[in-house]
Amino acid sequence: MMEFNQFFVQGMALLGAGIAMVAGLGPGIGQGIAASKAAEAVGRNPESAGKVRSLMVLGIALAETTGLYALVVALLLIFLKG
Amino acid sequence: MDTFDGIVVRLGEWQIPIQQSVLNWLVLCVLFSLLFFFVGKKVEKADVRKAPKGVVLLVEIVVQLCSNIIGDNLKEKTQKYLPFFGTLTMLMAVSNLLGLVGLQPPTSNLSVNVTLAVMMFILIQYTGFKEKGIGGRLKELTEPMWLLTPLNLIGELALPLSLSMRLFGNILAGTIIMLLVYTVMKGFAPFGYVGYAVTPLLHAYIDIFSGLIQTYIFFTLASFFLGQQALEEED
Repeated sequence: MMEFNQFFVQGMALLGAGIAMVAGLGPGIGQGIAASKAAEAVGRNPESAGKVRSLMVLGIALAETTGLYALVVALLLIFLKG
Repeated sequence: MDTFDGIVVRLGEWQIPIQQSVLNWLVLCVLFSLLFFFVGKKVEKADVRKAPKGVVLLVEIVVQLCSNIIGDNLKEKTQKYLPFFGTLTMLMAVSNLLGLVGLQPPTSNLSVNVTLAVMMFILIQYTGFKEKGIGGRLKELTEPMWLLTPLNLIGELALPLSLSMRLFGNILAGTIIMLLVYTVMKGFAPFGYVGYAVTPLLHAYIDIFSGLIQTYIFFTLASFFLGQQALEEED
């Protein structure tokens, strides 16, 4: 018979925090795509390097948002239940 | 390194704990208001015909930077909103950089971020209702068809949530990583000093790069959504 005591809750919360961080996959892929396209753009038109760089940094930081949501969820799980 | 959690204000039976991050924010506010007061006096006295130098030149560069951030999105209304956005940009940039001197950045506290984001939300909604009228704004929410109204409402409410969470997650993650690195260094006492080879790089990335980029993104997004409400749409 399984017991649903506080240790079970703690373990499950920490497991959930780990699973939540799987969301790090998405931003990783997205940032990679953004960087590769920026490199392509600079390769085609080297004069626009400055503009492309600032746009790429903005886009990459925006793509990071979903990963950060997952991080916030994981931190909440760790600090409130862990 | 001793950790300083904050102070507790006692009013009779009431105890109000003030965390270090909020305390930092309050101190920054006082410092910045003093700075703005004295620098403002100096700028008023400055001669327009001569080239600026010293403090006036520095302030001009900072104001130019702030107006560049919101200028693309607000176009001809930049001057109207520059005092509000510029002040908050400077405050947030400095508060994100506070991690460099070992203090807790105020923006790693969710209440500070939510306050800022809700301020932006109220400003955007107020501008929308003022510029387009109550009817026009409500009609805009039912576009392109009335079935999509709930989705539009969620879209409006997602703005303060995403603004505050993005900033909070980034700065808190940075603070925690730095805390972990310093704790590990303390744990391996004599050999921990090797860690000083890594910490400058981490500080450069986490505090300076990430902090300033997040400031830029916060105000770019806020002014973008404000521009959608404040400017007439051009077809």
